[in-house]
Amino acid sequence: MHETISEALRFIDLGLVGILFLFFVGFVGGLVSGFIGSGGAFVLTPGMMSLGVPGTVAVASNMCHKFPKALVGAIKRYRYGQVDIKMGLIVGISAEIGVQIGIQVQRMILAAWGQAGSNLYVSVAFVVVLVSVGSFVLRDALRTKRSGAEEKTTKLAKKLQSINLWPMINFKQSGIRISFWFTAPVGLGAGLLAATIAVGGFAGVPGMIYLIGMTSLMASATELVVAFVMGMGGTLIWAWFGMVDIRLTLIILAGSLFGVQLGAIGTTYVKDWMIKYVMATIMLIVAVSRGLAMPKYLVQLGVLSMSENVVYILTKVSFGLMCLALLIGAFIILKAMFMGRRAERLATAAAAAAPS
Amino acid sequence: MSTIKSRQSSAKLKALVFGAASIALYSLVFTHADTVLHYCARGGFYNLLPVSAVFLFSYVHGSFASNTWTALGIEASHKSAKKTATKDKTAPKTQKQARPQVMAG
Repeated sequence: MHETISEALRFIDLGLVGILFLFFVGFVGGLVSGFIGSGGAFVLTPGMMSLGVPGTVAVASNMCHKFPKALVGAIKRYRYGQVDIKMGLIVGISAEIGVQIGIQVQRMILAAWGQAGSNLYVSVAFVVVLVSVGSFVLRDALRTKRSGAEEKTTKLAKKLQSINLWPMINFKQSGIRISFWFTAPVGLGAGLLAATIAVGGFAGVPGMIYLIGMTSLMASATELVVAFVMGMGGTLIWAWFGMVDIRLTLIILAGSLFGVQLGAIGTTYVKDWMIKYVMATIMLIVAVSRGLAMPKYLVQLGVLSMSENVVYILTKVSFGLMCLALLIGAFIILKAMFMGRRAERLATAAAAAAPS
Repeated sequence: MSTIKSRQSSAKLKALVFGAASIALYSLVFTHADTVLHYCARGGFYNLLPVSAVFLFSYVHGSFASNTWTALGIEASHKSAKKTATKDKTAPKTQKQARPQVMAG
């Protein structure tokens, strides 16, 4: 993981196209993160690699931008009363442990099956987790939307909250009292997933909603605290090995600090189910994208035989779909925000025009 | 309405100040890109350099971004602002069971 690369090979020459690409993806990724608590990494890391950045530098530089972006987003959403700092810190610290376990698993797979095997493992993890969790979350979001009712705490979360297993923790901001032994696994899972597919929020946010019993708004906001803790811890380690390209980090940050605050503002105009809907949509499209990337690794492992042209096309389509996932997510968020603001303006105008 | 307008004009001024500071910081880094990159990637305890740098940029550029959105009239829903002010909690509070009282006589 921490292979030695000379400084000359580590850091690419940056052109205008690369700068604009990173700024734009940073903005869109930030918008999605500010809204659903995570996102952007799955496009940014391969995006940087497509510019010629070595994999470890791409991961390190992305992580170095992730934690300050998450901090700014968390502060913004805290002001809206959406963040449970205590929950975020407990889940975040457990996630750090999960990341370390995930890294060891990755190293064992790399040693046993080589780079192609490791890439295949990552892709399988993407597809299995994103399809199963994504379809569940989407079904739930659509059911809530159709019923028109408010979001309810799941039966599983109520059951877990009722189990008195020391130490019990009161989370005043969320109005939840639950054992530490049910919050820590959510963090561990998020950390494991972050170490595997670089997006821990796809486990963390659903875990906080369905297992702990938080609302979608609070779970997605609190995930920003988790991302901050994980990101800062990870960055200190990567930077210890000199893997952070600060130029890439700062360019992405230039866009993402605008995006994350816009995404945070967007959450105040939508109902809880919209958060689940956006997250699930992105997860399912990314799952298809990763599924299309799998033949390449199967060919490299000698399990499948396919022409080079077909593999090349599938790889390009896979990357294109990942970018599309982010763009679709951003479109849904901006549309919902636009409609919410319009409705509020009309209501304000109607109230002002009403006879006193 | 006047509160919104005064908030927006204050945000415009802050956006200009923080925007200028942000441009100055980015210019400083990118005109000395090789040196900055070298020290931030030096490894060991120099790992605090990139972390400190992003904290500084988050404050300056983040404030620029925040004030720009406010100056453009893009703010949180007013319903959300009221909700925060009244500290509305959606989860029901656990109620202590009242102890049964024994009536004398």
